[in-house]
Amino acid sequence: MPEIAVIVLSALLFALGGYGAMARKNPLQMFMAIEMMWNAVNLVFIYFAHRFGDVGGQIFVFVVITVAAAEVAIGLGTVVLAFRGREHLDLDELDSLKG
Amino acid sequence: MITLISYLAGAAALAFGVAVVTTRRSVHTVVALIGNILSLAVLFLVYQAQFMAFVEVAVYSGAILILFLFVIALLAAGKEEVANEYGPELPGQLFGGAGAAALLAAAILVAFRLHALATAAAGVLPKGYGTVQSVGIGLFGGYLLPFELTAPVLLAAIVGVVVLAKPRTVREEAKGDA
Repeated sequence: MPEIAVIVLSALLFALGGYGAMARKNPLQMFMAIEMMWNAVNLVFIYFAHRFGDVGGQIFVFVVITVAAAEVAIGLGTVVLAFRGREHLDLDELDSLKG
Repeated sequence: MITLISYLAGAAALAFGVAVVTTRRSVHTVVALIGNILSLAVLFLVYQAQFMAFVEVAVYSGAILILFLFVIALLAAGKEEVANEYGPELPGQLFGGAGAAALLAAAILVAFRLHALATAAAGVLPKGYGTVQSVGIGLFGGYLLPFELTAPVLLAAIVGVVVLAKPRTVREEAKGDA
C-alpha cells in the first residue's frame, strides 16, 4: 500500500473509534471503540518502524498494548462496579454528579 | 501479491471498524473488534512486525476481548440492549463534527505534503528485522527504561482492580481500622 493509504486507513479507524466513543450509549461498546483507536495508532507505528528500518516503533507498540491492557482492566472494573444492579447498560444513567 | 493482501486486510479492517461502531448487540461488537484486530495483525505481518502481530493477537483478541466477554456475561446477559439514540441536540453539533473531521483530514494531508517524511529515504531493514530476537534486543537494550516502566503500570492496574473488586463493606471496615 502507498504510504498515504496506510495513514488514511489509520486516521479513518481512529476517527471511527472517536465517533463510537462519543455516540455509543452502552459503556462496553464505547470501550471497544476506544480499543479500536489504540489499534489505529499502532498501525502507524508499525508502518513507520518498517519504513525507517528502526525497531523502536515496534517497542512503542509493545508499550501501547501494555497500557491498553491496564486501561481495560481498570475500566471494565469500574464499569462493573457502576452498572452492577442497574436495569440498563446506559451511560446516560450515570448522572448522580449532575447538579 | 503482498500489495493485494495489504489492500484486502486494510479493507477488512475498515469494514470491521464500521461494524464496531454500528452493531447493536455487545457480543457482535466484540466479534467485529476481533475481526478488526486480526486484519490489523495481517497488516503488521506485511510490515514485518511478526512478534508484534503475535502479541496483538494474543493480548488483544486473546486476553482483552475475553475480559470484555466476561463483563458482557456479567452485566449485559438477559438485559435488552439500549438503542444508540442521540441525546438532546446541541446547536451546531453537526457542523462542529464535520469541521473537526475536515480539520483532521486537512492536517493529515498537509503533514504528508509538507513534512520531510514524504521525501525521506526509506531506512535499510536490518537482517532479522521484526523477529523476537530483534525486538528482544531492543527491549532489553536501548529501550530498557520504557520496558521496565511498564511493570509499575501493570502493578498499579492490578492493585486498582483488586481495590475496586472488594465489596464496599470490606473497604469501609478497612477505612475504619486506619
